[in-house]
Amino acid sequence: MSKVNLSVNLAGANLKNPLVTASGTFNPQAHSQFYDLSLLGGVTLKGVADVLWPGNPTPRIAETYGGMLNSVGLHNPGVEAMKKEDLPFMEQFDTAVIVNTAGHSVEEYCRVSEALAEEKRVDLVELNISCPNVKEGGVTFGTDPKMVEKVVSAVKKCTKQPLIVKLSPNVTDITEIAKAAEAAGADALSLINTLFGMRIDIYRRKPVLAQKMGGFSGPAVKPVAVRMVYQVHKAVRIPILGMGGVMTAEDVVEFIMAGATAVATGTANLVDPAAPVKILKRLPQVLERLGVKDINEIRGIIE
Amino acid sequence: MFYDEVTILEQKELAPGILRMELDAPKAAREAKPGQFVNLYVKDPSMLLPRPISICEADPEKGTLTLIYAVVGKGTEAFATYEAGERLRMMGPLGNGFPLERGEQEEVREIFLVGGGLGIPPMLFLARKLHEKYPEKPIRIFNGFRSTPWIEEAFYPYGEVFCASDDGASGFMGNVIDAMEYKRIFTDERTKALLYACGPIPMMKAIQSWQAGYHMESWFSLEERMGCGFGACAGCPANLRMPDGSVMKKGVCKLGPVFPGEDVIFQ
Ligand SMILES: Cc1cc2nc3c(=O)[nH]c(=O)nc-3n(C[C@H](O)[C@H](O)[C@H](O)COP(=O)(O)OP(=O)(O)OC[C@H]3O[C@@H](n4cnc5c(N)ncnc54)[C@H](O)[C@@H]3O)c2cc1C
Ligand SMILES: Cc1cc2nc3c(=O)[nH]c(=O)nc-3n(C[C@H](O)[C@H](O)[C@H](O)COP(=O)(O)O)c2cc1C
Ligand code: FES
Repeated sequence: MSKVNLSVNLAGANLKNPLVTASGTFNPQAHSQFYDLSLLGGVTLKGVADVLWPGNPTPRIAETYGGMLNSVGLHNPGVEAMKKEDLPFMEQFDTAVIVNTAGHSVEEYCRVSEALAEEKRVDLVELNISCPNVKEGGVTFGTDPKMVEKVVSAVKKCTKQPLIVKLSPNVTDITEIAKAAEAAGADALSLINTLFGMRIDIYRRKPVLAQKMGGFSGPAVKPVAVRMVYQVHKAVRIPILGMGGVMTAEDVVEFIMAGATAVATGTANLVDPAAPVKILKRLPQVLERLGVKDINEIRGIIE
Repeated sequence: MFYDEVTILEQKELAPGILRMELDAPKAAREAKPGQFVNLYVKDPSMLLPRPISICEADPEKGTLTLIYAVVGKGTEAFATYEAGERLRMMGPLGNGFPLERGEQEEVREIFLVGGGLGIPPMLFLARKLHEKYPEKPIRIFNGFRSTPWIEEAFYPYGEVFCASDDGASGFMGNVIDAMEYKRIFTDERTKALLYACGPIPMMKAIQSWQAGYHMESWFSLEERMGCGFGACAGCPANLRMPDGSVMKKGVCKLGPVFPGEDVIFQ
């Protein structure tokens, strides 16, 4: 047994360790074949909307150097299906559950939050503001501070659990967006969502993804993510769930030093389903080597 | 399901750019069913995603899995450099495989196996299992190649083998549909043919329209780009037509890769 304290508090939720899975890269039934989910600080379920979203045509996945592109397009069965399948399945595990929510309008986001209000198994709601806003011509909610303030304050009112707002990195100044979300009542922030990327198949003279462009994630994006967590930590008071390219225990420490309270693995869960438990096994050793007794000591220590 | 490193026992080039890899993987070999696949991971960590490869043969006694793959890109290029004794990460068996039990239907009097290109290898495992299960039912095996066949004799013990190639390099000149039309038996209306296929989309589409004219049940093994291969990323849906006419998306990696042929909607 390690003497290093790993437990952290994320917006009121006590996590036994800072490791969480990122939305869209984790499936409870699929991943529980590889390890006991109770080992994790928490899990984030895939983005759900009020009703089924069919997602985008295929190919939805492309590999890039040290990363990947996806254009899944928030394909999901809707919140009621999640309530019937994933939430009951999570009953057997002792770990925090975060539900990531998607919507095309404030009303849609609120319908999801309301559907989750009575769900005891949901510890936190994570609002994905990278969704297209149909009412405003399809631009994402998350790229304009005024829009962020509007959607977050409205969704905060209709959400019972603490609300995490998940930020898009595809903005000029991430701190402006972070401050807008904080001012609107966000209890925590998570970042980063995927960067916007593209790959071209030169032989076919066509984009690799059917949707042409998609979300770029994986170890290749980590420096961007660490930089944004660092900047946002300096700009707001609310806790941060950091993510973007986390593959190792050292990466987790890097995000925490940059200012994250908890850290999520995303692409790593697809590349090596056992990644989070491998990281957790090594994390105490890495901290011991750094002379750290409590992981909370090093949060945001970078000046 | 097995997930860990496995040892390569042998790699052999069957034809230029087509290799057979034998792996020491006893647990996966015991569990494997025809039509299932494994995820192979490239050792170079800049290539993150799994390469899904169909199981061509599984020998539970020897504890081995045989895969046949074509060198088509960076990942398979890397695989081709790995030598006997080297280890690599593997996950599997994955997916559901072909429903062998459909052969039990009494009206099914002949079974068709249709493979095109790199869709042929999984047909070998299927042919052997079907032959063991239904020794009395004739199995007709149609393999389509671009040119010279690189696998043929291995199928001989299990059924009547027909090779077709685009250029007529060996066997029937033309596609597998022409070959099937030429060789079909279908004695009368009360009998039904059972067909299993794996190959390129144009071939599957052609089978779909061809089979519409006959009393036939088909099962197609599909390919899709995969982010995980085990049902976690929603990256790999196939579009399937439901009985009520609606379209449903089902993940190829977990609910497939085999689906009822009539239901598959090719984009
Ligand atoms: C269920 C299934 C079974 C398969 N069985 C076989 C088999 O038995 N033998 C064989 O030679 N090939 C098979 N394939 C295709 C094989 O997975 C690809 O040829 C291989 O992944 C190419 O990798 P690469 O790095 O060389 O190519 P690259 O083009 O460099 O690969 C880049 C990315 O695209 C993916 N990709 C490229 N082509 C395909 C493809 N056709 N299907 C799915 N993903 C692809 C790769 O996995 C990788 O993530 C199968 C595919 C699927 C989905
Ligand atoms: C296949 C895939 C699906 C994703 N789906 C969602 C989603 O539904 N909601 C969301 O907020 N983020 C989604 N993400 C973004 C991740 O949760 C994460 O923020 C991002 O991938 C960066 O972390 P990583 O580099 O560790 O993957 C998805 C990412 C991937 C790769
Ligand atoms: S490849 Fe990830 S769900 Fe099928």
